[in-house]
Amino acid sequence: MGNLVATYRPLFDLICIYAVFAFSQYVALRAGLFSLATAGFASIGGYAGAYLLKETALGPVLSGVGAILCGVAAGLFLSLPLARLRGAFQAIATIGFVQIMVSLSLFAAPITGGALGLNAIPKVASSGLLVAIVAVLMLLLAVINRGGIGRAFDAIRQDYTVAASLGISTNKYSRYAFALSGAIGALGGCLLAFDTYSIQPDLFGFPLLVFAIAAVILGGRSSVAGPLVGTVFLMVLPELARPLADERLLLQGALLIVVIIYWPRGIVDGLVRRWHDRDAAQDPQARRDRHGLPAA
Amino acid sequence: MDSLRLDRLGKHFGGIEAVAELSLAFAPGRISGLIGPNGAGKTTVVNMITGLIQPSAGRITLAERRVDGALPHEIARMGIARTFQNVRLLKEATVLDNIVVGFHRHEHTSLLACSLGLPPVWRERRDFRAQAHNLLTRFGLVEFAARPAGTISFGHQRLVEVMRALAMSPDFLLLDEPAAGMNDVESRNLGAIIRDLAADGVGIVLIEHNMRFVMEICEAIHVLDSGRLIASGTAETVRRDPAVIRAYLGG
Repeated sequence: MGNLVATYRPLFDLICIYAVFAFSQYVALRAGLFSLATAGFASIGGYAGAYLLKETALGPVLSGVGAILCGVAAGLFLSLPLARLRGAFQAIATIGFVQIMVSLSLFAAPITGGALGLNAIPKVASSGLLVAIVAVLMLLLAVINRGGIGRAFDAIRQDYTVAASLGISTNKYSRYAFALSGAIGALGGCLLAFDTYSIQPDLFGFPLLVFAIAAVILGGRSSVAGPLVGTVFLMVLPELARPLADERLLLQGALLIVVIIYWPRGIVDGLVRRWHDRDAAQDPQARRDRHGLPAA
Repeated sequence: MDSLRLDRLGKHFGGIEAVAELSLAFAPGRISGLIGPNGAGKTTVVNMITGLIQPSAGRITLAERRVDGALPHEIARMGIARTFQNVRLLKEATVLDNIVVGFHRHEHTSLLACSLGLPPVWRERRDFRAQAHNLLTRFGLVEFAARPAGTISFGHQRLVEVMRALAMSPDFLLLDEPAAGMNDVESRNLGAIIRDLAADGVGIVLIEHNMRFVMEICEAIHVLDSGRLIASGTAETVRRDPAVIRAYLGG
């Protein structure tokens, strides 16, 4: 038993950390942004956190806070030109941002260690901490979804013009979403650095960008559980199919295509939808009771 | 008087003059009709008032405040609400949630309070949902509250859009063909609702092709043709105007 835990603990930790990346992507999509910047935010958070922890006396907590603040700053900075753009333009510009961050981390060797990356980072993250962070993050996102920000996000995502006609400042909420996505992405990068002893530029490149969007689309874009389920799916599947582990990216891509075609809402939202449909097929009075409506 | 005024308003798209030299005043508590053949520029006028397109000439003011040049959400916050010619509900959301979004103008919690889920956020949420429920009851659609907005009938969707606009408590409400796709009973109900709103002091601007509907409820009717105002007056005078008959009503 102890052996089993020891074997799977690293995978478990990575699932928690990559779920954080998925949440960063989720916030952007939820707000109607076509941002793929999560990998770039992760890079900033990872290097900032590792650098602060190794080179300063700030300690793990303040280093983490510093990393998150760097993510917020990057998000706000990106939002200046991008909050006004829509759709494909945002996607392309944010891919550019990710590539710039990869290049920067390669060339800014004095801070980032270049291609070798930063090594011998003290391990300050425990599995318990990671679980707690994922739980708090999910709670935070659930709260945001249900309040005024979530309503504004929903309106902007579904119909930009209608949102504006109702007095919703699309700019303000897009900026907020970029900042939040930046904060969460940087948190994920920082956790990766604090958990795995070393980081390199290729951790935060195109594969992470694809992973983040794949996890959200696979798991579900609407419910908060979606990104987590998508992450678990994407991380556990290659482990189950050990011989295919090298084709992780291939598997990920193929899975994504299949899900988009056959289950476009993703796993969690698809299940929720199914439950609702079954609910709707029941007799009308039971439905009214369930929704707390008086008898017809 | 807090009128909504258009002053020599003009809009051209390339060489095409969609609206030219249009001066009108809409008074609060009054139902004004804006009619004319397809392509006369009616929707263009509404889009200019709500900031979706910028006028090429002239100005728009609300109670002496400049409206043109402001962003769409700023104009909405000044108290100008609208509905759309082709209904635009948030189809994924429930009917109730569609109306709740309309209360955004009355939201006072900060982004921070909202992010942390402080008590005022939930108070507001409860309050907005209760008010949306009241609107649904008043419009007789409360049984559809939990349905996804895309699944109710087209006529009902139009009403939900009107309710969403009303959730803003607007001073002016611009309705772009609200009775299109409604049967007689539905449009008569809508007429009664619009009259009630006007009685409460809301200025109504109504674009509509259903002439019986327009003639019945509008106190003032303005007729556009090729972007120009060709007649203004009561239903009686407009109906008899030879220019209107030639351009729109037909002999």
